[in-house]
Amino acid sequence: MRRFFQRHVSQIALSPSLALIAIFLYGFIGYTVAVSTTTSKAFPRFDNFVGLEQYWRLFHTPRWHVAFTNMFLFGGLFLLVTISLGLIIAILIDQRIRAESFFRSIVMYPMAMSFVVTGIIWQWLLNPTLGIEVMVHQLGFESFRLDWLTNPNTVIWALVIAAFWQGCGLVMALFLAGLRGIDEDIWKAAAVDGIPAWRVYVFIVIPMLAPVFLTVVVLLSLSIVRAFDLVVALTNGGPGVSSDLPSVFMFDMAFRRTNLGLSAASAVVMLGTVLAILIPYLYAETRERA
Amino acid sequence: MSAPTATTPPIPRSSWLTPRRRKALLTRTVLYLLLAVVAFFFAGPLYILLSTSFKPMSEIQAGGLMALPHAPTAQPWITAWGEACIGITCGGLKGFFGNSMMMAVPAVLISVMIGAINGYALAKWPFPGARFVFAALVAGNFVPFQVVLAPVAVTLRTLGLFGSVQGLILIHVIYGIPITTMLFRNFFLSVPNDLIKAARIDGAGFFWIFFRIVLPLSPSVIVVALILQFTGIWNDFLFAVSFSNPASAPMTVALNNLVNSNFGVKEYNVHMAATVIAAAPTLILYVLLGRYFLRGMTAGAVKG
Amino acid sequence: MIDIRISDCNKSYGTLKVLKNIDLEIERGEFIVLLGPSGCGKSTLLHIVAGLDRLTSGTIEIGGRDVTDVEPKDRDIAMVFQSYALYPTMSVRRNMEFGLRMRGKPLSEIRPLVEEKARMLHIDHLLDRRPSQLSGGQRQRVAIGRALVRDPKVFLFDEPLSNLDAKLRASMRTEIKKLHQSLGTTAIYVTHDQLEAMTLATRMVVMKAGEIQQVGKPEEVYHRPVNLFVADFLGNPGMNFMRGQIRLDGGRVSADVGAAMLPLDGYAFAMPPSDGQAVVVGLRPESVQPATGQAPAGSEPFVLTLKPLLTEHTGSDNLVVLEMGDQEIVGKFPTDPPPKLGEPVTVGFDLSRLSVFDAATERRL
Repeated sequence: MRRFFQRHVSQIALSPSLALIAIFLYGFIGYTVAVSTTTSKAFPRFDNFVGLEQYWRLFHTPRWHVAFTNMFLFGGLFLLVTISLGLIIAILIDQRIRAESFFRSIVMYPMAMSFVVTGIIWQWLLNPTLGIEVMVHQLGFESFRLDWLTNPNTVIWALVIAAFWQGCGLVMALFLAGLRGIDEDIWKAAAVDGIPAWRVYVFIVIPMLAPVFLTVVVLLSLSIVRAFDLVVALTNGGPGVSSDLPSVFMFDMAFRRTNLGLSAASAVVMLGTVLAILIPYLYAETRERA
Repeated sequence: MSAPTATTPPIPRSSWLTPRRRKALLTRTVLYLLLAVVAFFFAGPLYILLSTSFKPMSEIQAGGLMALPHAPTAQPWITAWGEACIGITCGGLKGFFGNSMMMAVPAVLISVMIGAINGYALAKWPFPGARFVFAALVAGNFVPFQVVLAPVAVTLRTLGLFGSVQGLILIHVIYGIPITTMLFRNFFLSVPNDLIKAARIDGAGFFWIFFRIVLPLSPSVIVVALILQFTGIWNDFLFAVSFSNPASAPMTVALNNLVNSNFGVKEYNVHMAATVIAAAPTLILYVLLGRYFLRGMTAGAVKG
Repeated sequence: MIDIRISDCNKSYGTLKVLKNIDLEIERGEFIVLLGPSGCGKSTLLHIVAGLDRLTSGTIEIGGRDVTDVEPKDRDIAMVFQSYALYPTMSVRRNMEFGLRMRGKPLSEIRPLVEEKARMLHIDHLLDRRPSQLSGGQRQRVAIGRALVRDPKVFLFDEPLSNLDAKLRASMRTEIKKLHQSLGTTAIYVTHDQLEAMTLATRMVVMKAGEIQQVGKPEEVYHRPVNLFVADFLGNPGMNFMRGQIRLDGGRVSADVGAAMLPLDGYAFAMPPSDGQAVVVGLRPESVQPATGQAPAGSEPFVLTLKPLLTEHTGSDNLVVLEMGDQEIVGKFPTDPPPKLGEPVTVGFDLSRLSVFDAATERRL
């Protein structure tokens, strides 16, 4: 007995975690997949199998369409803004500036804020009667309008700017680490070759950062699929359902509309989206290492 | 040593503004202007948050978002902490702050401990299939938690933990296993194997080596893991809103209820003070331990 | 004709002075090697010539033009780096083309140039590869090729061979030498490897702590070091140093090193010695050999009987540690016959190779 313990102590130490993850992660994913094939309402029931009907219904629900489209719209804009500005800010900070750590800290501190706090801050800043709009009016630009929160067509930008404010620090830090990892002799060689700095960035440095781009895109994409708190705190899906996202839809269906079957189907679609991002990435990563 | 010779008349060392330096100076000026804009964008909101939280309502309605408070008052803070109405109770945030602390501290400590042991077992005591076990655990980092929300609710109800702080602790511990395991495993790979072998030859066992040799080598990764888990758990909203009730709600939920409720007059200064209170613990961690914080965030960015 | 003139050049970082009053004139076609221990300022000096570092005071001229405030790209130089600094996302061909394309040269002119230089360096079959697919030696060739294509007035080399293994380093060294002989372009080469310095340089510059110690042809610096530092820095195994005093006896000068009186009558003193002056006498191991019975032509025979304490067989020679009073000296002996430990042997000193330094100032006398 003692020898068995000694020989397998590693497995024994791991087994509680493994059991918990097996049940609470893989088991529960299976459970949700199973629920998504039923017509469960307030409580999960497994005696009413309907196959893929919930998925069919899901994609014929207008609100889901809005939420699913928004995910790509918000995601695309968020990726574009955060990656381009994050990279530019990293490049600015990489210019041997004074007070570098001060600027770095300022860009990165919002990372410490929860999405709820972020959402509330930006709800306030974008409030047309109190926030930035009033401030600009008082500067003398009376015609300035900033109605992102109240205009269904532009509300997505409110999400983008708040998410950017919160997430730019991480992206900047990753790019900065990438920039710092570049051999300084490359810069010297380019200087001797007479290549202007912007061309060095465009033709040499940024291509060298390709792995960082990949990491950043995957990280941000995962956070986009999961985005929930920010929307709840900033717009609560509104006006109407114009800023709805899959996570909000799922939560609503599960806890407010008592439609567990449909909610489970939407959760499974979210998981599928994550896998669609992740599997090619992991495939590329493992191939690179091999 | 060599005086200027006839072939090289002394070149006038022109004023300090040579064309090269003038161009450099211009570039630097533009650079710092851009950085100032960046700094304003990121720091501005926090400044507005803080200054507004000290303003009486009359000043807020008069506009002047960027102005410092004329007649600073601590009343919004007092109200937010002890008097503001959240839902049907009017005891301020203090109870919810307590909920968050009672939830976060044990959950962080337990999940970091479990992650450390798992990571140690996987990195230093490999066995056939260890890589598969690691992959199975770490895959949990990528799963959007929406997909387990409903079964977790059912389980917590069955266990009688739904709506309790203990229930939230349990859930945070379980779903913290993937990220802490990954963090510690990756760090422990860098601990020399020869150290473990030497200790084993000397007769030390699994836990002795863990506590006496491996953990003392890892203060930085422990700090990183603590920060990562504390920030994640303190800031969590999804589990909090799904599995708590009005009495056991953590700060994030209480704050959202306070600010986004549709009842009564919106006391923005109180809301701002409440927001600062909710953000304070993680913000303080960031200020005190910025370097570890970044490492934690980078490691944790994959997590749901 | 002077190609590069460095006048009164100073460089400091805050209070730290890394270059002190450097003056150096380089003739067209010379191959100058800057040699010194790490931190001596040799790389900084090279970077200042390149324009990559700004100097605190002084001037740099290249080809008769003051380039002190000129951008690196306008100095008509090309540089080869220790880490090669190849652009990793570009093919070898693109790497070699890039500098000229940036200068707006038409591709139709660049192409044949690149191919010619690639053939010269035997990398023409690698042109479409990425740097990451090349070995260290191949990368180094590409880096040199990239510099060659530019056809600059001056080549700058920043420890280009230090990332290569010993064998490759030797063969690349020969190739750089050949290249310089066929092109005749002025070159400045930084290294901490004295073998590279000795073999490549037409003149070498030995530096220490931001100051030039000695400038001269390699054999001159090797055989007539101006101070103890240079004497000690060059040579492997290192020079033997014997502490002693000058003895002036009538018209004869000699050095009393305890176990022996070394006659210095043939020594060309730069400054007249005084009786009793404390000195350090230096003699390289290859000038300490078993006595053959006849002295080499033109030098005085000077023979001592010394006891071997230890021998190190290096393959081509035997390094023999000999007891000399309370001091020890190393001699370079042939491997055959091996000396017997503890059995005194007759050792010949080649006194024409002696260096005598003042013990206090450490300068050559």
